[in-house]
Amino acid sequence: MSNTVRYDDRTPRLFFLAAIIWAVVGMLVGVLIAAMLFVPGLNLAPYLTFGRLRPLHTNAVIFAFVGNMIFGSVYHSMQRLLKTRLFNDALTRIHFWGWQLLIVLAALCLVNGNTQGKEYAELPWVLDILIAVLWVIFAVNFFGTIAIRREKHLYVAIWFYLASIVAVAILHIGNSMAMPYSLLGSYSAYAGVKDALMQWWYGHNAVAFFLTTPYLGMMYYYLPKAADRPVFSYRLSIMHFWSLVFVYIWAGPHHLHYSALPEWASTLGMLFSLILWMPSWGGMVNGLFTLRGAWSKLREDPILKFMVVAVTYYGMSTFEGPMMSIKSVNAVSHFTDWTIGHVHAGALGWNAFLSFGILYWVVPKLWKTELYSKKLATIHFWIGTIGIILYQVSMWVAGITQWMMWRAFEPDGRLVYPDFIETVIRIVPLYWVRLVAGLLFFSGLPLLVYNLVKTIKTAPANFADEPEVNAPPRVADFSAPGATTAPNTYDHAFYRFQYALRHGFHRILEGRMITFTVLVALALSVGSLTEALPMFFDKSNVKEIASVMPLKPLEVLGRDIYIREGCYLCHSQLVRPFRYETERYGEYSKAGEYVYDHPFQWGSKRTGPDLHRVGGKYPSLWHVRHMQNPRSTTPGSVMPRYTHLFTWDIDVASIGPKMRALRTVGVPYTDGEIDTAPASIEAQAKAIAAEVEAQQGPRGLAGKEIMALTAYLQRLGTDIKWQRVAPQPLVVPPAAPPPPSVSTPPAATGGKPATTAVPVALAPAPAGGKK
Amino acid sequence: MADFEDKVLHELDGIKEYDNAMPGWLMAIWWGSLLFAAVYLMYYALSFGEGTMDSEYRAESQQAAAEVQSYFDAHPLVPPTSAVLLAGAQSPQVLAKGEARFTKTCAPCHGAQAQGLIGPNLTDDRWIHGGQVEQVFQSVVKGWPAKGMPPWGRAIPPDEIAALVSYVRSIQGSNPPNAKAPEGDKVAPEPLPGK
Repeated sequence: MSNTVRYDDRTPRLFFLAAIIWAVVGMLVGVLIAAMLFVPGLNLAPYLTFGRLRPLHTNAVIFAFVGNMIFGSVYHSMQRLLKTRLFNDALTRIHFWGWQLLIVLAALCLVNGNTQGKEYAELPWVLDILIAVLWVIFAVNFFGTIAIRREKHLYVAIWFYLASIVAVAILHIGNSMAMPYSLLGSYSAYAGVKDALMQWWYGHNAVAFFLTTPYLGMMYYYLPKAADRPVFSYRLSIMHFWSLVFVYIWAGPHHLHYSALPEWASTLGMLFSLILWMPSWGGMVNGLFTLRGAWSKLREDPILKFMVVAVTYYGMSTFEGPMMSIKSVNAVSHFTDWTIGHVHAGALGWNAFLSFGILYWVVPKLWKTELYSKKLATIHFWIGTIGIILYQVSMWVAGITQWMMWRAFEPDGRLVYPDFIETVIRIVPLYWVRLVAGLLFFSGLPLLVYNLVKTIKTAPANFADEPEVNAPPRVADFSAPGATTAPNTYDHAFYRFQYALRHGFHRILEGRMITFTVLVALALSVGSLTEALPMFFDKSNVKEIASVMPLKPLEVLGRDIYIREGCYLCHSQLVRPFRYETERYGEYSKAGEYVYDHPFQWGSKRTGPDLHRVGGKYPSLWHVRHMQNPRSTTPGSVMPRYTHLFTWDIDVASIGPKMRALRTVGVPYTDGEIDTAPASIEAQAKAIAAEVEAQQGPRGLAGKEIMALTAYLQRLGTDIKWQRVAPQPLVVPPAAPPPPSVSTPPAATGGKPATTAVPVALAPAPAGGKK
Repeated sequence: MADFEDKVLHELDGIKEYDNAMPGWLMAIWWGSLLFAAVYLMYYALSFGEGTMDSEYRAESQQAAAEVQSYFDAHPLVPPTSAVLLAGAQSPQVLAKGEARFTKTCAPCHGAQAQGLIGPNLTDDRWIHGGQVEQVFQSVVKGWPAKGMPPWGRAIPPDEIAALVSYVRSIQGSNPPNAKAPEGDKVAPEPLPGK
C-alpha cells in the first residue's frame, strides 16, 4: 500500500461554486417575495406568485445553497481529517450533477404548482425518490471514505457529519410517505394531526440536521483552521454532540402548541426544547472559546469576523428558539412575523455567514492562491451584519405589533380590530424595512462573487493538480494504532483494551464507525418513537367526530387548487383556543375535524386570516369577486389576484385516480362515489354557479376552477355545529326610552338604568351549521 | 479565561484539541433545564386536566363574559328609535360618520354608492329583510349569516351602526349607476322629520 494519497479537490471546488450560484438565485427570490408579500401587483399569476415562489426560496436556500455548502465542506474536510481520498470518484460525480439536476427540476415543479403542500417537503414524490437515491450515494461515499481511512480516530467534525447523514435519511423517508395519483401528484400517507406531528418532526429536525449539525461539523474544522487556535474542549464536544443528537429530535411539537395536537406531545416538545439550550450553546462555547488568544486577529481578518458573528448568531438563535418554544411565548410568536425573524437570524446569521467565512477561506486554498481583496470581504461583512439586524428587529416589531392588535378587545367585548386587514396594513412599513434589510444582505453577494472570481483568476496554471500528501497506512475499525499486524492473541486483545481505556471510552467509540453509527441511530429513534407511536396506536389522541365526512369530489379538486397555489403559506386552518381567536374566527379547531386531511393544511404564518371556519361565512359571490380582485372585497388587501381560476377548466378526469389514492391512505370513499364523481362535480359546480348568477355575479363559471375552490372554502369547518362560547350583549330589545342623542348612547341612558333591560345576547350562531 | 489548563490532547490535520473543563455556568443551564423539565412534567402529569388548554380557554371566556356583562350593567345599551335614526339622516356630522363607516365596512359588498355588488342595492325601495330604519338597524346588528351578511354588532360600535343606518336612509332614491336589479319587497321610505 502506498504511503501517499491524492486528495480529490475538484469535487469540493464544484460544490462550492454551485453553492455560490444557488445562493444568488435563492436569496434573489427571497428579496422578490419579500416585496410580493405586500405589493400584490408584483405577483404574476399563475406562475409567479408568492404562494409558488415562497417554497422555491426556501428550497433554494436550504437544499441548494446550504446543501452544496455541506457537500463541498464535507468532501473537502473529511479527506484531510481521515487522510484519504474520497471513496469513489464516479459516485462523487453522480452526486454532484444529480443534486444540481434535482434543484433545477424542483424549481420547475414548484413554479408549475406541483407541490405536496408540506413546508420544506414540498417536492413531488418522484423528486423525493431522487433525493433518497442521491442521499444514499452521498452516504455510501461518506461511510466508504471512513472505511478506507488512515487516521484511526474520527474527529468531532466527522461525528456531526455522520449524525446529519443518518438523521436526514430517517426524516426524509419518514415524512415523505405518500400515495401517488399521477407522476407529480400525491397525497400524504398521514392525515391531520398525525401528518402535522410527522411534518414538524421532519421540519424542525431539518433545521437540526440540515442547517445545524453539518454546520457545527464545518465550524469544528474551518474555525480552528482559520483562527489557527486549538479547539477549546474535547470533553465539551462529546457532551454537546451526544446531548444534541438525543434531545433535538424531540423538539418538533413546539411548532404545534395550542393546536389540535394532544397536549402531552406539545408539552414534551416544549420541555425538550428547553433542555436543548445547553447542547446548542455547547457548540457556541466551543467555537467562541477556541478564539481565546486570537481575538486580536478579528480586527483585520474578515474571515474570522464572519465566523465569529455566525457562531454568535447561532448562540442567539438557540436561545431565542427554546424561549419561543415555551407555550405562552409561542402563543405570541406563532403565526406572526416573529417566527420569520427567528428563522432568518439563524439562516442569515449562522448558515449564510459561516458559509461566507468558509468560502473566503477555502476558495483561495482550493485554487492555490490568495484572497483577492480583504477589504471587499470586510465591506460584505458589514452590510450583511446590518442587513441581519434590520431584518430581525423589523420582524420582531411586526410580529408583536400584529399579535397585540389581534388580541385587543374593547370593554364591551368587541375586537378593536375586527378586520384582519387592519392588522396587516399597520405592519406594512415594517415589511418595507425587511425588504431593505434583505436587499442589503443580498447586495453582499455580488461583492462575494466579484472577489472570488478575481481570486480564482489569480490561480496558478497548475491549480487543478491534486495535492499529494504522506499518509499513514490504512486502519480498520478494530485495530489499535501500530498494532495492525500483531498476532490476534488474548494478550494482544488485552493490550488493546488497556490502550483504549487509557484514553477514555469515547476514544474507543471514535475508532469504530459502525458502533458509532448505530448509537447515533438509537439516540435519534428514542424521541422519534416516543412521540410518534402513541399517536398512531392510541386512538384517544384523535377523538373521532361522527359528523365529519370526507370532502365531496369537487371539494377535493378545490383543495388541490388550494395546495397548488400555496394558500397555506399565508392562511392557517387552525383556530387556537384563545378568546381573541374564537371571537374573530369561530369555534377552535378539533383533532377529529382533520381526519381526512391528506396533507394537513394548518399553515404556520398568517399573512391573511385563518380559514378554518370560513365555510358559510360569505356568499359564494364574495369568494368569486375576492379571487378575481381581493381589493374589491377587502380594501387594502395584499393578496394576489387569481384570475386564471376563471379561465382554467376543472380537471374532472383526474378525480378517479385522486379519490382512489385518497381511499388507499384511509379516506372511506365507496366505489359508487368514485364512479359517480364526475356527475357529482358537475352538479355541485352548477349549483354554485347558479347561486353566483342569482346574486347577479359573473356568468358561465360552472366548468371553471373557481367553482372548485369556492366549494372547498364553503365546506371548510362546517362539519361540526358550533356556537360562540360567551355570547356578547349586542343590543337590548325595543321598549326602552328613546335616547336624546345618537352619538352618545351611554350618556343617553345613564340616568335611567332601571328602565333598561339587562342586555341579552341576540347574536345568532354564525353560519357555521352544516348545510 | 486564565483558569483553563489548555493541555493539548489530540492533533489532527493541524487542528489541536484541548480538554478543558466545561464552564460551570453552562453546566448550570444543563442541570437547571433538566430539573425544570422534570418538575414541570410531574406537575403537568399530576394535574389531571386542570390547567389544560380547554379548561384555560373556558375560564378565559367566562371571565371575559363576566367583565363584558358588568360593563353593560354600568353602560346599558338601548337601540335608537326610528325618530333618532331619521333625525340623523339630516345631521351632517352623523352622515359624515356614517359614510366613513360605510366606505370602510359596507362598500366591499354593497358597492361604493350602495348600488349593490355582492349584497343587494341599498338605494332602491326594495328590501329583503324590512326597510324600516329600525329593521335595517337590527339587520346590521344581527346580520343574516345564512345569506352572508355578518352580525356587525360584534364589530362596529353602536353609535356608528346608528350613523350607518341614518346614512343609508339619506341615500334612498339616489339612483347610482350600475345598480343591481331590485330584490325583495317594495317599502316606502319613512318620511324624514320636517318634510
